[in-house]
Amino acid sequence: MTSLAAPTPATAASPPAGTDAAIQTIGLVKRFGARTAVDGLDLTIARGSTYGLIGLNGAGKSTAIRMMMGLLAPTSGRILIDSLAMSAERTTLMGRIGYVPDRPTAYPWMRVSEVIAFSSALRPTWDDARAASMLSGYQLDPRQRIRKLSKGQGAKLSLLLALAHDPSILILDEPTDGLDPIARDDFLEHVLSSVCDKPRTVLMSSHNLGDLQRIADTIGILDAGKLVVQKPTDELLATTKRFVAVLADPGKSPAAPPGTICTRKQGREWTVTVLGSPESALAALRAEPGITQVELVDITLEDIFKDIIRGRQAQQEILP
Amino acid sequence: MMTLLIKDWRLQSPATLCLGLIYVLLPFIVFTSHAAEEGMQRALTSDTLIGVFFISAGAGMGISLLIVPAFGGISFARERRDRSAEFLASLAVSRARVVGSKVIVAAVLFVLPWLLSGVLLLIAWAIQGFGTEWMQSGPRYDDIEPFKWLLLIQMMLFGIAWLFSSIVRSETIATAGAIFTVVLLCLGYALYRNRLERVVGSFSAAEMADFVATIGTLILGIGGFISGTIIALKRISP
Amino acid sequence: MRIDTASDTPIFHQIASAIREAVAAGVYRPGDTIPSIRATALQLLVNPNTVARAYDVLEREGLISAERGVGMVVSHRTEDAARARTVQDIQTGFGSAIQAGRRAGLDRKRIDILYRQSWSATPKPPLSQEEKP
Repeated sequence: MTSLAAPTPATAASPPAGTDAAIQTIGLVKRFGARTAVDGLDLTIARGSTYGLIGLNGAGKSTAIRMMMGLLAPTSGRILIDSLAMSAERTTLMGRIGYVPDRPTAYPWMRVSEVIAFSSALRPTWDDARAASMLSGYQLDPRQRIRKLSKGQGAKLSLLLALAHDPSILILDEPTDGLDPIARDDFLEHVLSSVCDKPRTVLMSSHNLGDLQRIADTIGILDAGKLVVQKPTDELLATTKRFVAVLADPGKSPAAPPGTICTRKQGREWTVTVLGSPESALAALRAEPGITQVELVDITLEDIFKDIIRGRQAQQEILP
Repeated sequence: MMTLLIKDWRLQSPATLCLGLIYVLLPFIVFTSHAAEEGMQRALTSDTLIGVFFISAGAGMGISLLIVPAFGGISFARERRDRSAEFLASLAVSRARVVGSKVIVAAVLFVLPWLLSGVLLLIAWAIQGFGTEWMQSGPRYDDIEPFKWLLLIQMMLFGIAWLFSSIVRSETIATAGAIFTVVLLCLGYALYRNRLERVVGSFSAAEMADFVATIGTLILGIGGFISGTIIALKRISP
Repeated sequence: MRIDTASDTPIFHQIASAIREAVAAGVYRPGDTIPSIRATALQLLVNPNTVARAYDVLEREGLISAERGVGMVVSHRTEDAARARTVQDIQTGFGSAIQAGRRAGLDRKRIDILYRQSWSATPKPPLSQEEKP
């Protein structure tokens, strides 16, 4: 597998329409000793959008999210939420954000009802009626101790605690990680239901790209702490195409068309994934004398993600 | 604020319960061991009972030297270990309120062993009858001096455990670290003072050393508490 | 209704097609209310904005119209329109299949045989109206 051109750099990615950003990071950097976890992240999440953040383990998703939540101090760079600086207005901003971590963080020794009362006392905008209806809707037992909750129940409790104060921003860090398919659907249904109730900005990181393809209207791909792609989901799917070409000579690799992110050869079959303008790529492939036939094949978000990451990895192998 | 105070009190409840249990059981244990030696008939005199409560009050203070650092060690580290610190940080609560609540609960917990020992002493005095010679003459300095050292060492243990707790993730490490540090300091000081008295033979030098030790212990205890509080207030990552 | 995330077709498009087909097949008749944006979003687990976009497309086509207090209602005399769109979808599908066959060097006779085989291999949907005049 070889990669020939880097995908569109993040800075070139078009900012979402209407520059009213709910969350914005500017040159965000986080280093842990010698390791750079987040490397100059410029992320823009438009108000009312549902943003899917994807990346391999260790790509910096959680670190970035924890900085946006003010749980971790950036090495450099700024975080603006509702145009307010997280570093200065943390307490105010926390009132507007609901946060669902990858596993429950509420006091394990408290009962469900106790942690609800606890949050209610500490959140000025907490809506008791809303919490009560969510509690019954989520089928949680108020007398249960938090440490005894199943993974699915724990995730739902985190969601309840994140939503009962009616936040305008919901941040979810791999919330469905480790949930069985039924619990995952159940969880996502409740997330979507909360978005149906009131327009909210949602930032969700996940390894389940099928879920994000359905839920997110914007996708950001992180690799090694850098944002490599940030595009509306439909646009990403419409402009990223995979072509399968049949080669006249299996020994010779033809020139890759413009916008190629990843190529793969198997005998006479040559697979090319392009990002940007598939029409000109198709024209270039058709004009290539070494290619006898070109076919367009369907591609999912998961395929796009894998090809982008593999392309970058292959590129790094070439460059010293 | 009440919510935070109750939470911090409950966070400490294993250590608090442990302390309470020790104070309830101590008089029985002391009495039983005494009765086993002397026989039940002779043990059941008012003099023995007074002694039992006196000894229990003292022993309780001694055992509390192990529990007081646990109060300090639990305060921040347990929340970090449980990740509940993260939960707390995601609520709209200022760091000052979070830390302030812990300081108040810590102050109450710190005086708890003194209160409980005080209760045992009151019981002893009640049996003895108020207005006896001891009560009238008032305590002498020699009676109080061990308590002064007890208080100083407790403060040092607590302050250092509090400081460690604001840095590490584990309450066990914070508590054990504080005890270990204090034991080392006390041992070192005892050896040094011994040497002053025996080798140098100067009593005034030993007295001077005691004074320096008093001040040093105070500084370590209060300094640990203040720096731990500042670290907890300043640190962003829970 | 189901969504295929393995397909290239945008999800709002898939939802619009599915509702068109359902109207053409008589699942929803003129005057019927189609599921609300919320119900559809939760059933398919897709972003409500996506469902809203699909309904917007259908509304502009005149297939459905918003009625106060009721929701989205299938317009009268739209069955034909929906069927026409479905016919269009079928033509597009056949078109790409025939193209694939041509690329593989198959002649018309062979493709006809393949079509017939597919026809008999595909089970009839329970609400099929194809036998009606």
